[in-house]
Amino acid sequence: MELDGETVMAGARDTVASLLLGSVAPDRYRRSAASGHPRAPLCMMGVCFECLVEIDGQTNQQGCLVRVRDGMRIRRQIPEAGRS
Amino acid sequence: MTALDLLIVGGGAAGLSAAGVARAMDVSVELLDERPALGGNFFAGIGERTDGVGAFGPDYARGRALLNAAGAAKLSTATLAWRLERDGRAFALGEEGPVRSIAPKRLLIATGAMERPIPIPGAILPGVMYAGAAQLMLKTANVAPSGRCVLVGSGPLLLLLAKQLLDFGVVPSALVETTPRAGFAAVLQGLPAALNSPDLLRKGLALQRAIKRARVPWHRHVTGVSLKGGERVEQVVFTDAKGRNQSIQADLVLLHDGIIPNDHVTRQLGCKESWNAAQHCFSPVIDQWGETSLPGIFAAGDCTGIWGAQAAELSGKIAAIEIGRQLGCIDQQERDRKAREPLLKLKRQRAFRPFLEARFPPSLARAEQAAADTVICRCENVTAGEIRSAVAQGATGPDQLKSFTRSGMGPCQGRSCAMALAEIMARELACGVQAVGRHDIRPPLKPLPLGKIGAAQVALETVP
Amino acid sequence: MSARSRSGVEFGVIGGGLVGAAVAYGLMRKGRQVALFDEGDVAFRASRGNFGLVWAQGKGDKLEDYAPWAREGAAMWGDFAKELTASTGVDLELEQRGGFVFCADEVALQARAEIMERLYKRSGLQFEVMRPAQIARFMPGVSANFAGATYTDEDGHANPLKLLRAFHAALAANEGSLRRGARVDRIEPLSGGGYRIATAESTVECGSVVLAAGLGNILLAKCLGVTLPIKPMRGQILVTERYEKVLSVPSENVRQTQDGTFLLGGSWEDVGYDTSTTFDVTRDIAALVVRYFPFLEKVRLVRSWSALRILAPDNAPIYDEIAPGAFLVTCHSGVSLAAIHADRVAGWISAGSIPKEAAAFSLNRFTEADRREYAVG
Repeated sequence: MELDGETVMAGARDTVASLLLGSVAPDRYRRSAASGHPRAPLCMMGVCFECLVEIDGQTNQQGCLVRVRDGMRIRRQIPEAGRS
Repeated sequence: MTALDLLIVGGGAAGLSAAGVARAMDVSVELLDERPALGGNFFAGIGERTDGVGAFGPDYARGRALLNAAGAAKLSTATLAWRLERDGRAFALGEEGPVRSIAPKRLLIATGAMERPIPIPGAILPGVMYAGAAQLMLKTANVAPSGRCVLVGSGPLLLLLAKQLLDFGVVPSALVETTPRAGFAAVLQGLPAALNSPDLLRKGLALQRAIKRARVPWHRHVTGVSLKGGERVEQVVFTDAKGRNQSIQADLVLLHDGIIPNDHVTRQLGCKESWNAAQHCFSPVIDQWGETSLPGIFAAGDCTGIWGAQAAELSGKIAAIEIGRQLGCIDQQERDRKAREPLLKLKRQRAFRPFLEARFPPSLARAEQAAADTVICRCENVTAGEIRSAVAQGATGPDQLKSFTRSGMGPCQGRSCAMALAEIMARELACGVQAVGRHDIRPPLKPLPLGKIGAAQVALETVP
Repeated sequence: MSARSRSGVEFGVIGGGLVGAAVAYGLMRKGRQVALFDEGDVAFRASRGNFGLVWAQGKGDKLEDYAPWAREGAAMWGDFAKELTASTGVDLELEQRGGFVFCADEVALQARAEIMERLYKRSGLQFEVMRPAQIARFMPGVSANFAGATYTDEDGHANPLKLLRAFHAALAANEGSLRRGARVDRIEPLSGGGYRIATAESTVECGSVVLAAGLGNILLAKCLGVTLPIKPMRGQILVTERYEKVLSVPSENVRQTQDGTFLLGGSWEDVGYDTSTTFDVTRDIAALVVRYFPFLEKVRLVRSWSALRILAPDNAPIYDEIAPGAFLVTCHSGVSLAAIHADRVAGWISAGSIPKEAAAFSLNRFTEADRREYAVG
């Protein structure tokens, strides 16, 4: 699959959040739209909304609830990844 | 509309158990779970493990049988029930396809538990997670944390996680326990019941031995915990039992202070709830079968109060049996016969809880004591100080507070802050948490795209 | 044993929503001694469901005197907001850079333009009829999938929650002005003039009383033997997640707040006191706004809620002295009229009578048939 335009490999049981936690430093996971501060997954059980990520063009998806799929396009919601 | 007998929301211990029992009575069942795989928190990953149950033991392996029995039901994973009606109707959305409307004869809510939110300084820093998150990653993806990992907080699950990490070959840098010294009277109160469950007591002691054997630095009766760091967490700072200030370097901090019901669904429905002082949480009011204040709508498992996975399995079973009776599959006599044993076992399971509740009161998640700059609402970035000033400016209840500060208005709709808001407000207004309550939960239960909702017109019309 | 406290106050204002708070704030500014009785969280609190438009266009459709009043109310907002923000530190997020009312088809647009033309003659409010291509200059991303809209450059929007907070903050700063959690059960005239206001905890005597309790006014007015022709009209509102700032002006169905969220609304349902939301209306609003703004398709709905508008038969406010020293103030435009309520209406009440030029807003404009149809209390 694709993470910010680069090809990455993931385990079959990875969620988007667990893939990202293994691929990028936690302070590079996302930035909060409200405060601008870096934030990263907290609960991994769908409660906290700290794992938000863009998947296949749809922003603000809970990365911990979405299983990785072949060909999936994931974008981090940080300015460096092309989003404000 | 389809003539479904029973819709279950949540595929953990309670939901799976209810699905299996209901199917065995020939009740038609659909189960919705927003996660990609079934099992809830306790049995997370059970259906996909090819390498045995590893360190998680026979209690965890039990999930296989529940999953098999539930297999006779229609199981819809990665499917969000985003709006529920008081007549039991549900609106659901999967990863693909349109919004569906489901009109079951009975509805069972089995949404389990969540970590008690912990609003301490620095908890919003990347690199801070809940203990349950680490445990879920062990269970679902066989991923153990790397780097310096510090466990902070209180509760049996924190000790259990320490043990599970050790079994995975990860030695935590430290265990920083905020559990207060056991109040003698409090422990005595729960002890007789606890002694009736010697295996549970033995499990607890075995955990402690394993942690000591691994020589994990263990700081007990710690207070004043805060997490420090710039862009990510770097240090855990606290006052130890002797009153000395300590600081421990950390790459990953795992927080835990017990669990509370994940009761968003019953709240959106407007089920009557009550304050559980012993567990320090709100929970929906249910009768012995699990029926809520809304006729035909049931709740089972930890979303009704924290009793553990085995109790959840039993309460799911009990609810399914009564639902079978209400739908005419069995008569009252048969219901009572089927329910006798699970009701007894459930009582025994619950008997151990007062001991744990007395031993592990909330000690880290004390929002009413939060410093002014501590973030309470993570989504909208609202601090304890801003909340206090809104109360001073006339916010008299949780809904007014929400509209004054935006706390609870973000995508999580207050899952992370509702309890903390109630605790802060209760302190400021000098009343009880139960008198303050929590703000209303509005549909949708989780955000979903407008296009999916707007297009639902067509989809609904074509449902037979 | 009775533990009731007794205290006297010059003006008792009943209703802690936007209307009551505006009048109480205005009275306080004029140096009057005020007590505002706020029922608190359990109130219907239409203010929390307010869409946040500061709006003149279209108002007065059924009572033409309302048109210049609404226009003046909007014009006063700028100075009013400055003053309120200066004293409370609460930014009201006011923007008055124009506003649109969308019309799906030509027939609706034609009818709308005729109303606007008629109201222009009464109030002088200038307007334009715009086609989607013109609207796109103000609202990038708008579709071409509808007939057009009417536009005025005097309309705008503000944050109704911040406005309510600012009023409460201003009153809370003045000892004794804000009575929290104080649901008024009844009011009764005192023999020597003035009124007694009774809550569960206390009774307060006041020289004059202001009924500004929204739908609660129905019962309060009854205490004084007056039947009010007002009824609830439910509106459902949706709010989305944050999005990059794209809309610089609001419309009646869609506005983007300073936080970046979109507020979506515009439903009118006559369903009594039911404050629930429904799937059908949620879907209809979503479908309509996606038709107007296709990019909203992927934007997420975060919450939906409903509130009850307080509607008179001609949708216009009612200002009246329903008994000596008992003033009625009710409307469903608590934000648009906030400035003029705090200034002019509070001024009348402070002076002790409603002047002749406001006679058009009195209760006696309603017919017996209006009263029968609307008296649902």
